[in-house]
Amino acid sequence: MERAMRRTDRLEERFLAVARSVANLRANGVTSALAKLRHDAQDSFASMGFPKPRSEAWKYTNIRSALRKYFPTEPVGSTPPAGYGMHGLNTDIAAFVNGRYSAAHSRNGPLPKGTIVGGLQAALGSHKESILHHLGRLAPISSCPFVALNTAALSDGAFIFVPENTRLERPLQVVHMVTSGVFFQPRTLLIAEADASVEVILSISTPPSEAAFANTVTEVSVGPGADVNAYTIQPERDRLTTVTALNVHQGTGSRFGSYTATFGGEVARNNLTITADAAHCDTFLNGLFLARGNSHIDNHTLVDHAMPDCESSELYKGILDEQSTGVFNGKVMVRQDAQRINAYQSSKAVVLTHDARMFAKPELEIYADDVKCSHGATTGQLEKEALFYLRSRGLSEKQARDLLLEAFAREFTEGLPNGEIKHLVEQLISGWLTR
Amino acid sequence: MKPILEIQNLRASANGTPILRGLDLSVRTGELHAIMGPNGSGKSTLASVLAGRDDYDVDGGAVSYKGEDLLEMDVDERAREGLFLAFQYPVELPGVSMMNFLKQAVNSIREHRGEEALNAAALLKRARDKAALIGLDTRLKQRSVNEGFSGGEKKRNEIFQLAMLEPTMAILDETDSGLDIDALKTVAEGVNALRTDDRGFIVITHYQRLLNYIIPNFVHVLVNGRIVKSGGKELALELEARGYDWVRDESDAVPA
Repeated sequence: MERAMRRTDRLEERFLAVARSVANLRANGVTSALAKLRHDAQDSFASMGFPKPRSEAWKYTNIRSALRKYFPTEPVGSTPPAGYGMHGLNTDIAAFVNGRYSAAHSRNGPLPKGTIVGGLQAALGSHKESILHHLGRLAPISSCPFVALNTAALSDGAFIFVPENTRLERPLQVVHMVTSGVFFQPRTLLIAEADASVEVILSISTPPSEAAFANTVTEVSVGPGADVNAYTIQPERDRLTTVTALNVHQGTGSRFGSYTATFGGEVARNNLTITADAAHCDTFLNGLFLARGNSHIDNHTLVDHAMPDCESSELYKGILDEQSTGVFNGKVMVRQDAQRINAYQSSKAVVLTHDARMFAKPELEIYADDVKCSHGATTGQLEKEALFYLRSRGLSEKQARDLLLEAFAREFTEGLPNGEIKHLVEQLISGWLTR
Repeated sequence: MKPILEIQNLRASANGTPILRGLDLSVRTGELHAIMGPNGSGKSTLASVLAGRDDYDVDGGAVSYKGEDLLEMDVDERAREGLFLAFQYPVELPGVSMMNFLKQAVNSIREHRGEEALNAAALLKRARDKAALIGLDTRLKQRSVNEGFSGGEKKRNEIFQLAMLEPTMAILDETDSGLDIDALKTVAEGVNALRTDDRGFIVITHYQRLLNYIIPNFVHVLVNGRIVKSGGKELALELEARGYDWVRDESDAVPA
């Protein structure tokens, strides 16, 4: 027992030491407010530690064993992997290499006046107040040890600022790249001011032949009347572990959509937290996960309705093949003041083999009395009669299966608000199926 | 008139309960055989066993299809070899587009025959022609397979697929059930238009009504998993007038 404890301590200490040294290394030019946030985060992480195997929020995902494989070190080299980001899309690209904005890898058309796409640290000069108002507040260090650890080493990252009444015509890809296979911690802050409109595609890129662990934190502030879509696209990678935190605050009358498409990964744990703390918000949380091999995909969502007259709609669909595991834990919280809320949640999974597993845990916590909430979770196999019907028309077993799986995934793709991205995701789905 | 299907002493069961108890039937090109019989006599089981549904165990007998052992073939292989089953209860496939489904079905059968795959334009043209033949609302082609179709639309869609896939041997399992008289007539006209010299039909029906519009060459009465009486189209009328009991009594009188 004592030995086990010591080993545990060493695991946390290993990551904390590196966070401290990174923080010290990059201390130059950092404001005292940021230095304090970082210091608090170090303390916070030290007291929380990584999730214990028995912790309720991590019940189905043993993240400690994934962490043990990584020695957190600074990445080596300066050349990021080729072929980063999503192809075939008419987008701007903001690329970050080892945490720093890289103009050489980015591609921007002329941006509307006042819009900022670049590095967090560089923006501290001009937008210090706005940054410090949101950074570490949208994703509080107390919310999760991974957020604390990311914040503990925070010195730079992506900063996107869309001013009032401004609309970005094209989606913006935010790509965090790392030059070697390490544990790395991308950070993004997106501020959409009142009545602004923006679509972002979030992805990471690591050297394909090397194992890597990404602990990403993305904070999004959706101003009053603003409209923001965040697409998280996670391609099939055998040796990539990701823990993502996407924390969103919505202002009055705003609309936010999160669309997460996961095509594999050794472990992918997506923590999505949306706080609708103003009236008349619309929120969409849609996800699709396809897993095979030993892939383990865990989507953990929370919609927190704090104010009245809001609507949220959530749909997660999963296809689990071979020995893969899927987890969906979706919680809808309706606080006492949040009257006249409509909240819908649905999770559906297809389990294709005897060895694949799905854990679904929908949770509703309602303190207001005038609300409409529903949730449903189904896990099953492909319908035998449907397969027979298709095969009786000459389709092979594989053709029939793929056609039904594509149809199953269509409910997700149909909900994607951007046609080009929808088309790309459809291609990724059929590519995954034909592999 | 070449033989297509030869069923000899076919025995099949479901969950250990015997349903087909020694069924014999042979179908040749250009022929349409009607199979009638009371509920539970094994009509749909026969259709299912021929199409290859694995809910049934074949316990004995033989089925030869175009000279090959049908029972050895996989479901999709049977279809590619030109066997078609119009389902009694067509399955709804939400999210599966009609055109994509038809394209895969038509082309997997064409490729098996060594024919060139149809491109989208050719497929669309064929679909338009065949839909007109069956009286299928062309808007249904834009939808997911059978999703939200009425009972009549589903049955029409089965005959539409039959037209698209041009099988050698078509089996219609209670295609008339759930159809009003107008729908019944259109479906029957469609089937009649598809009766050719190189194609055989088995039409399974509980009622004689359909056979007013689709005139069979032969009528067989299936009772207790066996064909107990065969005749021409006039047998159907006799069954309509007298019910099934007299055939049952007659067959009981004959030692097995």
